[in-house]
Amino acid sequence: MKLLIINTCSNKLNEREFVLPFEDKNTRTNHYSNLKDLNWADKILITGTALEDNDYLKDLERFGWLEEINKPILGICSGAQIIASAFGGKIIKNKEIGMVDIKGDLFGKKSFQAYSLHQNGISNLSEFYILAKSKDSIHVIKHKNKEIYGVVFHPEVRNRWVIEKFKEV
Amino acid sequence: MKLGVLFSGGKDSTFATELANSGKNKVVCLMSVKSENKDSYMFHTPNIDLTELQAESLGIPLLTRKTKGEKEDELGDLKRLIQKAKKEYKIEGVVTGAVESVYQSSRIQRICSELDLWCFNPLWQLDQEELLNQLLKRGYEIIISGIAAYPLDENWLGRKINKSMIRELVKLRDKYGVNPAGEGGEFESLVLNGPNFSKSIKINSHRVEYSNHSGTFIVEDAKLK
Repeated sequence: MKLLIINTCSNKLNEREFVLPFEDKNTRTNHYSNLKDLNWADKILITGTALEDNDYLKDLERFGWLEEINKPILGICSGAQIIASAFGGKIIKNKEIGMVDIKGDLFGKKSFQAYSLHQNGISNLSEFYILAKSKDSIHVIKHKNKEIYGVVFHPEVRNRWVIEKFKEV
Repeated sequence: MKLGVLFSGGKDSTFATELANSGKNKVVCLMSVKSENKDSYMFHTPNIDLTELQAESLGIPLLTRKTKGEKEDELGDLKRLIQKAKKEYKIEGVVTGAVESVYQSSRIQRICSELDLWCFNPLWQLDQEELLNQLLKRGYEIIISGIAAYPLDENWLGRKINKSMIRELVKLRDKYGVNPAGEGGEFESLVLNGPNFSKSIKINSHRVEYSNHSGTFIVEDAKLK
C-alpha cells in the first residue's frame, strides 16, 4: 500500500513531530504547495501542524482536488480542518490541549483517550457523519459517500492503531 | 525564527538544540529551570548547574530561574522564564527535547499558547533506540547522571553511553520495560561534548549518592577543555 503524506507544516522544524512519525519505506511526502504524487498514491494522509501555524488557512483553495479524487484519505488535526472545509464545513476557534476522553465510534472503538493539540475546530458538517467527540470538540468525521476521514486528535501519539486501521480500509 | 530551547544539559534538550539551529531557525537563548525538587515531573535536576558550562561551549546565552518544584507552581516559574526570554531575546518559539511525555509536552504547549509562541518538539515520538543511535552517530559524549529504576544500580552512574550500553538497555526494555532512552525517568543523562560544542566538559571531581536503585552522579568540579 502506497501512502502519500501531505505535509501542512510551514516551518521545517515542525515536520519532525507532525510528518516524520508517519514516514516509512512505503510512503512519500509532498508539501501541499507542491503535490507531485497524487497519482502514485493508493491512500493519502494529510498531516497536522503546530498550534501557532495558521499558514494552511490562507491556502485552503489549494485543496480543491479533494472533491475530485477517489482514494481513501485521512486528515489529522489541520488535515481534518482542510477536509471539512473542502466539503462546505467551517473552521472555528476551538482550543484543546492535552489528553482528552473521546466517545463515539472510530473503526469499532467506542471510547479511548487521545492527545489533542488544536486551537481550531470544525463545524457545519452536513456532508459528513460525526463519529466521535470529546467534551469540547468534534473529533472524528467521515464523508457520507467517500472513504474520507478527519480526526482532530493526534493518532501518532498513543493511538497509532488509527493509522493501522486506516491502512486496512 | 528566533527560538529559545528549554535546556537541561541532558541528551534530549542538547540534541534538540542542535536540530533547532538550522534553516531559517536560530537558537538565540537557552532556558534552564533549576528545581529544588529532586523528584520533579517537569524538570531534569541532576547537575543542572552545569548548563552554564554547556551554554558557554555552545556559544548561546543562558537564562535560568529557580523553582521550589511544587507541582503546578513550577509551571508558573517556567512561564515567567519563557516570558523573560521573549522580552530579552525576542524569541518567537520554544523548543523542547520531549520525546513521549504528554505530561510535559501538553503543559509546555499551553504556556506557549498563552504567550503566543510557537512550540517545537523535534524528537517527538522518535523511537528510543533510534534516538540513542543517532546521538552516538553524531558524536555526542554522554554519561548517565541519575538512575531511578530497577534493575539499574550504582554501577551505571557516570558510565558513558556507547553501543554496548544501548544493547544492554534494549535487553532491559525487553525484560523489565525500562525505556532505553530513560524517557520514563529511569535515568538522567549529562552531555559532555557534542557536534555543536566548541569545547568539551572535563569533570575534575564528583561524588555518588545512591540507595536502592535510585542514585545521582553529582559533578562537584568541572571545566571546559
